[in-house]
Amino acid sequence: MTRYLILGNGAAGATAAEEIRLTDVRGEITVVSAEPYPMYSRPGLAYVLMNEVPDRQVIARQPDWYEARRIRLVFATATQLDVAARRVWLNNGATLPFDRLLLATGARAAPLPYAGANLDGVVFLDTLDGTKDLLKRMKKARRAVVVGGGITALEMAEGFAHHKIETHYCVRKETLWSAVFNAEESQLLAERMQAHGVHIHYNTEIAEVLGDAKGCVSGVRLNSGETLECDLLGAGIGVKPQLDVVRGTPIRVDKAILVNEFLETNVPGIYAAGDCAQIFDRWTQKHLLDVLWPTAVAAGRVAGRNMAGQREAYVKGTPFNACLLFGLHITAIGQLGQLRDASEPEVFQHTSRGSSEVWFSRPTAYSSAWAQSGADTVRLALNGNQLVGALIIGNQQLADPLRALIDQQTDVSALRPYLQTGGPQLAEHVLKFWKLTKMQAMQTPVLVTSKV
Amino acid sequence: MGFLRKLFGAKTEPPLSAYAAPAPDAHVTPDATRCVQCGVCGYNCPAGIPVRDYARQGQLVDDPRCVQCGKCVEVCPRGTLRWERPNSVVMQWDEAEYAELKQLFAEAK
Repeated sequence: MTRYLILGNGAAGATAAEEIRLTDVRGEITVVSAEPYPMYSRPGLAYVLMNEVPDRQVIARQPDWYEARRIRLVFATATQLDVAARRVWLNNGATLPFDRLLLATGARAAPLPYAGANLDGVVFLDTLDGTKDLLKRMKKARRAVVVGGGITALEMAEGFAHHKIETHYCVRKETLWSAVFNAEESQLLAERMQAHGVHIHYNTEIAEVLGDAKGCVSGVRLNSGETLECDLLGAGIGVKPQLDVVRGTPIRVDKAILVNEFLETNVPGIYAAGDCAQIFDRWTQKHLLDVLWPTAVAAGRVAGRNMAGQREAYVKGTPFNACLLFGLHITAIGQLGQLRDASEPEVFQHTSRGSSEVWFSRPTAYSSAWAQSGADTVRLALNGNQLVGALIIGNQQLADPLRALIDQQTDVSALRPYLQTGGPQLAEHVLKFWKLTKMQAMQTPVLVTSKV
Repeated sequence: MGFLRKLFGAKTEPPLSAYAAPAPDAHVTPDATRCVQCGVCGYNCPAGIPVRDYARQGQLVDDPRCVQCGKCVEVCPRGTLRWERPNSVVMQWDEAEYAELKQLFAEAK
């Protein structure tokens, strides 16, 4: 009987456990959770912060889900791993032996690299307990500063504003979510944020976090020398994979745990998936890190199957993220990165959660079409005759057709002349082209035999 | 349908919105790859249906308690849910439309 051990109870860990059970009905499955909850939705924390749902609601699996699948859930933190002895030590003194191990420890919010970053009142949106604590602190807070250039920071700003706290949002670049947005898209979101009462400070970096005599945050000093007073400082500058348990082991690590296409580390029988894994990608010949929910679920599924004896390669899908910020629906698909200054090194710490490395890769020949109609915009990134990326804000009717055209690598040369039109016509032509593509697929005769 | 809502214990009157069911046989249909399991859908369901569990499995919501109010479709922050009619998978073939679309995009080439 195989003993499966999974460190981590998030999207990757819980999915892997479920998948193992589908293949191996007899094996012993143990999931170690560092947080005292069954699996919960980390992206859902933003909606807890905005009082859309009570905190218990983000718990996505109840204890009976684990029981029904005979998955043992242990609430503890793994402190040490011995790959030779095939054993993991926990902080409660227990040790767990294993035959197959999955490292799915995820990532936590990156700490702020400024003086005063440890003061009381520096807050993150990365755990359920942290979010519950933040909700309590919000009741007393009057002013907040948020720092960070991605979705998490924006969600925090929205949360503060929702609780009627005077909110100042500081961003290093001159646009919002600069990894993905162009200037117009940034402006569209900025107008929404201002309507919600958020003050935006562009081209602004924090020099130091200021504290009072009690060790609480009292404000921030900016690079400009200006000071902003605040009771809370929200940090959403990126994530840091949790790698403590693999330190000092022979398991190879770069920015995260290195795994092959089968999600196995260099130590046979030990796998990694989710935010703590850097997966070999056959197209780019590189190990890529994705910190997105759907990616973690997909990788967890493949890892689970392979642990249970199958041999399936993980194929990276098109990066995809849908979110709701200040009432605007936003969908980002595929390659969207703005070309960055080549002299600027890639700083991992500024890769925000809800982000994907592929958004920053450079297509060889990159051109784009952009259309705006009121609050609705669509931007298409093209590489030759293929769509490689799309960003849709507002009306989402194009989201699914565009995702399919990108996924299926459809030749869109016939659509090209209509891409310059802009406005509502662009949407109309994309929808018509999508309809034609589907109709042509129905027309294609099915090959029954083929003789040479 | 009002009596059905009473019978099955709906807490609120369903909203009349763009998110309401387009046809009596339409089902709430999730796209599992968009779902992040936040649970906003089920929390807002007046009939208390665990919509999240359907969404995780990409399974259409066929719970008999569903009153087709569309609240879950409206509140989903990720655009995971939509209405589908069971027979809409089979696309209606329209020869005239096909010719017109071919013409439109043939000119472009």
